[in-house]
Amino acid sequence: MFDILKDLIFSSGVVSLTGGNLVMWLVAFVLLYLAIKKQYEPLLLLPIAFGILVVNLPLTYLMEPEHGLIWFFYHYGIELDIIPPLIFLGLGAMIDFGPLIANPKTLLLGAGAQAGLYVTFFAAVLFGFDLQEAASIAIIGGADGPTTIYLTSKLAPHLLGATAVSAYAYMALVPIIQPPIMKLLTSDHERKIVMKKLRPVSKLQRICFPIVTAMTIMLVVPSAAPLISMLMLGNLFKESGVVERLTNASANELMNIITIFLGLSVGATMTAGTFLNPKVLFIFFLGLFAFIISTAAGLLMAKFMNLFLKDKINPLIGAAGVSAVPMAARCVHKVGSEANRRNYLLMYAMGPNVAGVIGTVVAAAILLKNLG
Amino acid sequence: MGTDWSKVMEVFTSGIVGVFLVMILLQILTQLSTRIIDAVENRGKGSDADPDLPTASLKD
Repeated sequence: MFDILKDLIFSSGVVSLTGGNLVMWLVAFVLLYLAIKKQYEPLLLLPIAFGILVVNLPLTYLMEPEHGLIWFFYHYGIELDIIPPLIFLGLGAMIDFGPLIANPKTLLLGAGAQAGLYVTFFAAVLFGFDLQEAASIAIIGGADGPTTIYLTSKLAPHLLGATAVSAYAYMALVPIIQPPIMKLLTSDHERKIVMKKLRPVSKLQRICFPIVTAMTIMLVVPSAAPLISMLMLGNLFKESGVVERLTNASANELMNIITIFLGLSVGATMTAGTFLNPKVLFIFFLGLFAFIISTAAGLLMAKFMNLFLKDKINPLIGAAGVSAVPMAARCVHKVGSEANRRNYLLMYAMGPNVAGVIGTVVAAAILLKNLG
Repeated sequence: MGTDWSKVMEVFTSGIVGVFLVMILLQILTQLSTRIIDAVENRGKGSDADPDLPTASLKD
């Protein structure tokens, strides 16, 4: 009887627990709290947190290559680049490019925000990260989860958990991080600028946009093809209006299923052994830096454009160039309406916001071309 | 191993320039395509209204 009990205890995970495991449980519980109680990006943070928790239970071997359940999700979903493009398919089926088509100049704001990403790349190299790691950290500034995961899985897979959690965490914290930067870099007068009404966009223009964009970007930067083709296919489903079932499947069922696998797989990469070292923890600091610089670069780009534009744009919309759809646009609207209650900036900010998604993909593709 | 700073500068500059070039190209093509579509659609609207004109001129 004693031997059976002894055997049970020594074959259990309890005796194999390490201090690192306990710290990771704490990280998981904090993320669970943020997801459930604060509702910060719960769709992603909840499965990520649970993935962290279960992978740090000893002897479960959930991430054991060729054997573990979550390893199969990770291997086929992320290592083989299936999940991020499928997320983009769903995203495309949800995005409205109308405000961008109505005011194509806002594409430059999506490009401006990416400047922050390259500044962070430079900073990360200065702090001792190798080029591939620096690129994976810099892409956090794009505030685009699937692109961050896509690039990191190709350039620095050992940093996947940290960069993905960092990207999603900062996306959730947009309403806290961005307003002080917006107020610092714009005057009260600039925040009050009322923009010219957007022109109407016809159905044919909406249908042509994903086709033209997909062809242009894939011809110029072929390495962007997996993400941009899926994004534009999803949008073509939506705008064509003839494949409602496919649109709904992409935006709802498929997106939800993929989100589960993505969150769980990303969380499961965060074992105590890979996560708890100063270098990885420093990524969170650099990720925040990337996000702040990208926001500032978008704002400054808008101010720069105003030097040449007859119809001035409200520079706040430049901050939406960091993707984080639609949270960054909502944040712009909120700060704008604080300055001028009658200023309704949401639709104007959606232009640079979706341009930011395209810009981040292009930036990631260029990094991949240079460093992959 | 030392950092290859020439590679860092290459990635940095080609990245910034590349993103701007692609986005400017996309902006031009989007403006061009929307103008062409506008013109085609306006012409379509015009020709929808046109059938009355010859009739009127014949009556005259």
